[in-house]
Amino acid sequence: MKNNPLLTCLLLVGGITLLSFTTAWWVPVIWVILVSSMSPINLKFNILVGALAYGVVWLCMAMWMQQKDDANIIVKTGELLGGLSLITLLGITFCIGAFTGALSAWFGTMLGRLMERRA
Amino acid sequence: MKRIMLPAVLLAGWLVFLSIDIPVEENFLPALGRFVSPFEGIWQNAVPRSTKSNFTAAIKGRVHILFDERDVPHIYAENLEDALYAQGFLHASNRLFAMDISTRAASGRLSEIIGPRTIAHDHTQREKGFEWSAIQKAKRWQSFKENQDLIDAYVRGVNDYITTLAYKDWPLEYKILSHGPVTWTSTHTSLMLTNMAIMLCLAEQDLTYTKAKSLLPSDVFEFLYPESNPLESPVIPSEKKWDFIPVVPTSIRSGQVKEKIKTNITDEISQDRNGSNNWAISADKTANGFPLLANDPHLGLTLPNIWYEMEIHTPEMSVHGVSIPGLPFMVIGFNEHIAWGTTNSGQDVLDWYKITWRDSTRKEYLLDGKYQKAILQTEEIKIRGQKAIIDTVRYTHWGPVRSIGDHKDMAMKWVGHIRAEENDVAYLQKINKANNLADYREAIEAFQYPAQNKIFASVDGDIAISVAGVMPLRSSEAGHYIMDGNSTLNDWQGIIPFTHAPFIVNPKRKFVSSANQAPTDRTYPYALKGGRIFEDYRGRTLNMILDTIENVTVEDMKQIQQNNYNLHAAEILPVMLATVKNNNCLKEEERIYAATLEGWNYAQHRDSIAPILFELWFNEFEKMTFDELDSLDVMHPEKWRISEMIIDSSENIFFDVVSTVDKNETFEDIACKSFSYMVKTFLALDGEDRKNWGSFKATEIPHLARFAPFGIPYMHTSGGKHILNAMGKTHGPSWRMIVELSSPPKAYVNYPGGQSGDPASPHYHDLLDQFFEGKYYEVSLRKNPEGWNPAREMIIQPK
Repeated sequence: MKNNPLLTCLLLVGGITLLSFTTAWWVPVIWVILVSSMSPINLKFNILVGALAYGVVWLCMAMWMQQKDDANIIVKTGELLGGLSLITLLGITFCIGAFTGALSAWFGTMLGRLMERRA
Repeated sequence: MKRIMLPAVLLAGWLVFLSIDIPVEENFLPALGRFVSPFEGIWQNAVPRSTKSNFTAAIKGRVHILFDERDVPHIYAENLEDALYAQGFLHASNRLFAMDISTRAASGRLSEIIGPRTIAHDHTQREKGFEWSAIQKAKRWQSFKENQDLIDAYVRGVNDYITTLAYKDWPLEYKILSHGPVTWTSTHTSLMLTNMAIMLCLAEQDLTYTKAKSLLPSDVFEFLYPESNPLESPVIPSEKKWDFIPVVPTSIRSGQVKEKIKTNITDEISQDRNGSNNWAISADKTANGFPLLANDPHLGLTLPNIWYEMEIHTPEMSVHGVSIPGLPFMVIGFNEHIAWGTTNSGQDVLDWYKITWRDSTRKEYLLDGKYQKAILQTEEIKIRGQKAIIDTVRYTHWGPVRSIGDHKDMAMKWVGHIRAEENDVAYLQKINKANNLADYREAIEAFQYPAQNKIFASVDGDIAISVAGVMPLRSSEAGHYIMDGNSTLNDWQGIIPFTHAPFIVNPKRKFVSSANQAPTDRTYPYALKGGRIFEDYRGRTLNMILDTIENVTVEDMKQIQQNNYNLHAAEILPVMLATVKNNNCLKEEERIYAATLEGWNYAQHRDSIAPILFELWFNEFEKMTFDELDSLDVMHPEKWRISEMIIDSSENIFFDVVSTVDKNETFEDIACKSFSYMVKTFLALDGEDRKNWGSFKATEIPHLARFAPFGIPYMHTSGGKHILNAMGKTHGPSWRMIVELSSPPKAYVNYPGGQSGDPASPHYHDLLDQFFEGKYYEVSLRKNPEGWNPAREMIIQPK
């Protein structure tokens, strides 16, 4: 996995998706930390992949739900929350996911390096 | 090690930030992590919530639920307890948030989830002792074992649904408020009953009239505010003979407090918005020889609607009607043998007593010459985002003591607080299962709440109406104004015995009816308070129609429910128009408006302009006439009294405008002046507002929690105040039902809303447009579940 960025990406996306469907919103954070800690070579790469994986999974799911929103519930909720548009809500969802993924990957990578040094 | 600290702290901080609610001015932004997570948060609410279609529960037999095309559930259960379990489950799965917010509003617990904005409301509700009274009632229910088992089954159904909910399944409103559902109890059910009593029967005008009486000379007061309308057509027709010996109140004191009352007081609830109607027509008067019954209770309209339509089949009963989520059984409906409905009687069942405290600690109060200890109840008002407020409510012989304006010593005596002699659910159980007139009367006897007009018709051919509920026995002098709380001689003298309460069966006129007007004429031997609350026009309109109509059909009944005839306008407008014409005071450009009013048929139709002109003109006329009262901040006389004053005599001092010292205005002057003013006001209206009555009135159906985007901002509707179709801005017919008592009975129903409380559901407001177009759905009892194709179904198996 250390030398296989594609595998890292797949593991992150797959794990985040699976855990997001089955557990609380913050549980995939642990998965990102775990995966990042196992390939701690490239910090920038890990942060980027962590952010994108978390952000894209959230964004795709949000867009999928929005496709099924026949009653415009999301648009109406945005109105209620001070006039936020659908695009803004999608953007907020992506950013929160991405920032969570990035911080988790950063922490995971540093944790992996620490463990390697200790080992 | 140091290099890991920064991401660790940032990640931990970020996760904490995403997990807490963020205060924004007086509101709260929900914890963003779960709220925006597309796997759990608001995105999940984009699709309608679904419930399992097959599951097990702690019930005795199998329950099969079939849903029709309007998503109305038909419950088939092997026993009543299981049926009520299913009812509780369905109520919760469709209206959980509505049930929660309604009981919170009644008990004064809104601030727990909303924040400081609702502290004043909560404080008032606690002071009125609604939760205290609901708790006492729920405790007392436990002594009625049979009813309690039924309530427990219902409560279990609600809670079994709640336990299925993870955060992602929460109704949208809970996610926005970031507060989850709470466990349902009997006390919540008791609070729902209290909430209904508050909505329907907390109106009184004792404070307002006390103020008017203290500021106006007594002859003026009597002139402006007579106790009853001589033209009124009461619920019980005058043919009824009161063949009993009435219980005479032992005290005939007025009980009115003698000392000067400060005048910064007003009643909190007026009856202005009510408009329910019900009537039943004997088989002799209908086209096909079956009795007909109609009911259209008018309430505040919201999404979701207050009612939830359903049908229940058990070995002991088959019933279709509307229920109130939070309560077991149907509140209005029909079964195989009878149909029943209800309107508010509008009686004044709340009195205020002025308390004399021993000292400033307000722990002891004077009663019959001795100081009695008040019960001090500590109330903790929890406030979201703030420290809780600890308050003390004082309970006296009369009831809880309230602060009103500068008065901190007013005790509230209300029928809704009186201890029930039966389980409150007994009435619902009995009426749902009733087979005939005798069963109906037995059910009415069990009704323990402020008075309502309970209408009845049966396949046996009987029709009846009863003024049911708890009616205080008071002297004719007592109960109008603030009373002296120092003496129990001023107390209610018990309640009017059930057998003496007004009711009539199969009257000569071949119909029974009510529209919130006075229950009886002046021959009734008990004093029923509320003369100034009762409706004055709809009852007369309804009885005029029913008196003259013959060979009545279901279509006629539909037309009556949607009748827009404005009797108030019909009586007063010709006089006012003749006056301005005879005085020749209209300018050329104003004549077109007079012509519009002359051509009006008094139908308050949504596409008509004349109702706008009449409303603007009469309002301005009233304002100009009673400028003296406005300067004292005293209420105006009732509409019928104003009409009577004009028709009887156009000479009275009130037509003189106080601000014009050099002139004594007459009725003619005021009519002309207010007409000109009306034209100016009309022309100044926004173009859309003056298009027609519907756009002027601008009916809206708000979301229950006032989340604007989830309400309907505009509905083009007819009707209005004093009209059978009493459709106001946010208040109107909440359920329309017409039952033909054939065997088996058939009904025609509709209501403004939909079955689901979930804004994403196609059944959130799917009935709304059809309702305002005057459409009805035909329903009949579907006793055999195999005999029809449901839109969906649910099976609950015993564990």
